[in-house]
Amino acid sequence: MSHTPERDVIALLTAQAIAFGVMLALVVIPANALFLDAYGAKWLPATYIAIAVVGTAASALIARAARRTRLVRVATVSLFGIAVLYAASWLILAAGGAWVSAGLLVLFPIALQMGFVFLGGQAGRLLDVRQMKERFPRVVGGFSVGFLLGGLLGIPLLDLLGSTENLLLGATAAQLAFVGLLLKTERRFPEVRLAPLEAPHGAGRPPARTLFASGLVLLLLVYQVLSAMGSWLLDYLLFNRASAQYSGDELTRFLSAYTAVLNLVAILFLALLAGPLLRRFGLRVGLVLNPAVVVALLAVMAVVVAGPGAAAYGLFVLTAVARLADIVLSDGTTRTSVNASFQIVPIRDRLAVQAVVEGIGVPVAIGATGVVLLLMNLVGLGVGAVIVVAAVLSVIWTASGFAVYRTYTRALADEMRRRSLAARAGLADDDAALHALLRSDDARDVRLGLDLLPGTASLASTGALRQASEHADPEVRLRALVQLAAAGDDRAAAQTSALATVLARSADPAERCAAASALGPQRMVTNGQGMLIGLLDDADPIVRAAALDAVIPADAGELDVVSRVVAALEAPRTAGSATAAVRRLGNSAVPLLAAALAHSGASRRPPLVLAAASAATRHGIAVIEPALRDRDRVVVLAALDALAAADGAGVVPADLLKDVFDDAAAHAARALAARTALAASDGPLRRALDDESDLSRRLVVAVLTLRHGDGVREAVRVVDGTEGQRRALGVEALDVLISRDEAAVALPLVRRDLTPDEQAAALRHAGPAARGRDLWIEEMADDPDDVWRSSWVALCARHASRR
Amino acid sequence: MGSLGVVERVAALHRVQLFAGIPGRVLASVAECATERRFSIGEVLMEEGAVEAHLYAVVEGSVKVHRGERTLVELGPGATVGELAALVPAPRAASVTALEPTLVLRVDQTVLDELLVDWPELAHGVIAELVSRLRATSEFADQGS
Repeated sequence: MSHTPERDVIALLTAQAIAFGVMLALVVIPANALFLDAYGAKWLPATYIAIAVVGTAASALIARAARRTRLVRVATVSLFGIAVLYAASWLILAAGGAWVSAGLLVLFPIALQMGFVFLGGQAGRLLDVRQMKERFPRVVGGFSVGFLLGGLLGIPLLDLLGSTENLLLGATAAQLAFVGLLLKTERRFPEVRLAPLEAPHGAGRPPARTLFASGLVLLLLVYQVLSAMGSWLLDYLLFNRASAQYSGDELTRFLSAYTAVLNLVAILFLALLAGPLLRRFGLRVGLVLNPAVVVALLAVMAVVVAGPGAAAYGLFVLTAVARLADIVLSDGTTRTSVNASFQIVPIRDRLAVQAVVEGIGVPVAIGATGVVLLLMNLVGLGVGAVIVVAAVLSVIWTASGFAVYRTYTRALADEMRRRSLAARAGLADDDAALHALLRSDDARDVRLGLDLLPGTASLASTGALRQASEHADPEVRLRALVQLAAAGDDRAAAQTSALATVLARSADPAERCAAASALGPQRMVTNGQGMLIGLLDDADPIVRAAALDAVIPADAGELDVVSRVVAALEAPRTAGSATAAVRRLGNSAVPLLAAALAHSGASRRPPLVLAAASAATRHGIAVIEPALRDRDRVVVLAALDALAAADGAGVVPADLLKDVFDDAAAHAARALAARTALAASDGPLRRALDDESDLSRRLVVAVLTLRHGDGVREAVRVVDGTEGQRRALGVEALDVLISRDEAAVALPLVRRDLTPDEQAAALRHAGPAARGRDLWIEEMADDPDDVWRSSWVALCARHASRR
Repeated sequence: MGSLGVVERVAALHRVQLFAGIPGRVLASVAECATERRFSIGEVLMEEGAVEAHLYAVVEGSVKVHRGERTLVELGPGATVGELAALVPAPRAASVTALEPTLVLRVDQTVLDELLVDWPELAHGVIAELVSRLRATSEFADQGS
């Protein structure tokens, strides 16, 4: 969330969830009581099938509407429509139409799913993925509170209103409150409208087929279907065992007490455990905990059935525990994790996908459960068979949780790699344009044509090149001759050699550069190596860079060339070309490179370190080890970055990486702790400490990149370069790539939205004890333990102490 | 008035947009190489057409960039003048004159070259500064036409 006050968002969503919970409780009580009274439990599976049919149709309607109009409008119309249905049901029931209770039972799970789709949809627009993980459980907790309130209100309302069906009046009022709060949320946070989700005529809107082409969305569908089937089978098992244990008023009392306990546990879990659990263990646990616990409990139930038998009181207790665990975990971790996973889906598609996944997938699952139960009853299979079926389903559900998580992490990594720039179109795919360039009178055009030519192979005609080889500009002439000679023209090769020799002695640096370019791969110049050495010694750095570009692997045996190339690494204007030349020279440059790197002070030149890193990937850590063990953290950082750029992740021993990581963590904690103790007037020293914590941040990112791949750097780039939802996705991507211990250090450093004080608090575990300003300044100025290792920090500290 | 210490010079350079993102430990070496110069009112810092390879960072006071009598822009503390010539030595495109007692730090091309290799962010800063200068100049030209 980039600019909305998070607290207000949570408060409004929680209020909606409370109204939603009260409403559902005041529907489910009369619906069940009236239905069971009129038709008995044997017809319950039939209502499951009706839920599937009606739920699917309702969800399809909502998904269709969501693609065409904005969230709040869809939600308002749907929720208000349901309120009207409750009021109408009350009228029908008051007139003696008990059949409508079946409709209410069917409506209950649909209204439940719909409410969460709308709550999740709003949260998805107003909270980012990390806020969702941390705060959405509180919103769901509001639903549990509402449900508990509704249950507690049931008895006094019944006394007050006189008959069961009158509770529907309370449900209607709560539903209207839900709608009112939703509209208030829209007014307070207009960004919740963020839509229309589809252009007026459907332009640019992917069809449902495309929406579900994503592996993640499909897996989420499977996951939620299995989750719903597991939950309804557990529900059935509980009712089955409860009705075997109790009857009449005893059954009602048990169900009332059970509902109260269930909601109380759910509230406590949501308030105290769900958020920290997800923060600490992430989505992997969030998606897998619920099915794994259910599998474990079903396994114990199977043992009980196989032993004492289905009638055992222990089995009844286990069904009650399993149902409780499922509901608590479903509300506390599963629902939140699924909502967080949806954050990776583009916002314009999210509600449509969520409505289909949660709205169609779940009702279909409930219907399928009804069919399975009816069939099992028909063939006379008992509770043991239901437990086995539920256990098998739950194992698959657990596996799908792992699969969702894996796909989610991959989708996150892909999202981090996504670039806004379209793929570059080929520049030189037009023969006519290329010929026109080569035949131009303007030397700049011809140069461009010659630049494009190597990538276009046979596209340019020899005639055009011959014409260019007679151009007035000697540089153009030479470059055209080089191309002709490369194509096997012996006459052009001789002309190239003669012209290059002349141009190498020219007073014009541009012509000397052209001479260097003629030395390229074919080395078609007589005494080419002598000319190369002369150009490598040229006074003009641009000519030297051109000569470095002309260095080829065959020059590796020439010490005069190799030593000049290595020396050029240390000059800013030739470093880039020299780095590439060192790569081409291969082994022969390594001894000189190692010597240069070990030379005092020389290791501060990043191009030298970069070249050493490239050599290290082929010749081992020894070439770059001096830089990696340098006392100066800046040099260590340059070495790590260079190794990452040279694909040298496997070169650095794990213990060395660990040392660097631990040192960077401690340094960051120390710098941030010291910074918090300084006064506002200690400007230069505060800035120096900010730079030190930034250096630590870079070191941490560099180590993590070597450990976990480029995904880390891509995620950090997203965190640094974006805002709001996308930045949160970047943090989330980082979180799933690295370990918990690494995240405890890296996340506070990477998150730019934290203040230095907040970062210091988060890293306190890795740093020294707190102390006052003067003690910090004294330590930084003297650095008795050699922990700061920065003459600049020491200078700033001495400057601060004199003030 | 005495000369600035290294810490003050770095603090002054940090106030210059161009160098704001460069860590102090790096700017310390720039500050040590930089030359501190003071100009009085009307004194010329740069002459149009002169071939030089350094820039000035304005620490205190203000200057005007002008061609003849025509003022292109007025700049104060935190501004830089002469970046283009410090990157690619060429005749100065305009003159720069102090509007009041002005303290500047002169940074030479060799120092900038070093910085640019190690800190690509500086190149972005230079480009951004040049673009904004170009915009200001063309807006000025539009107003004059």
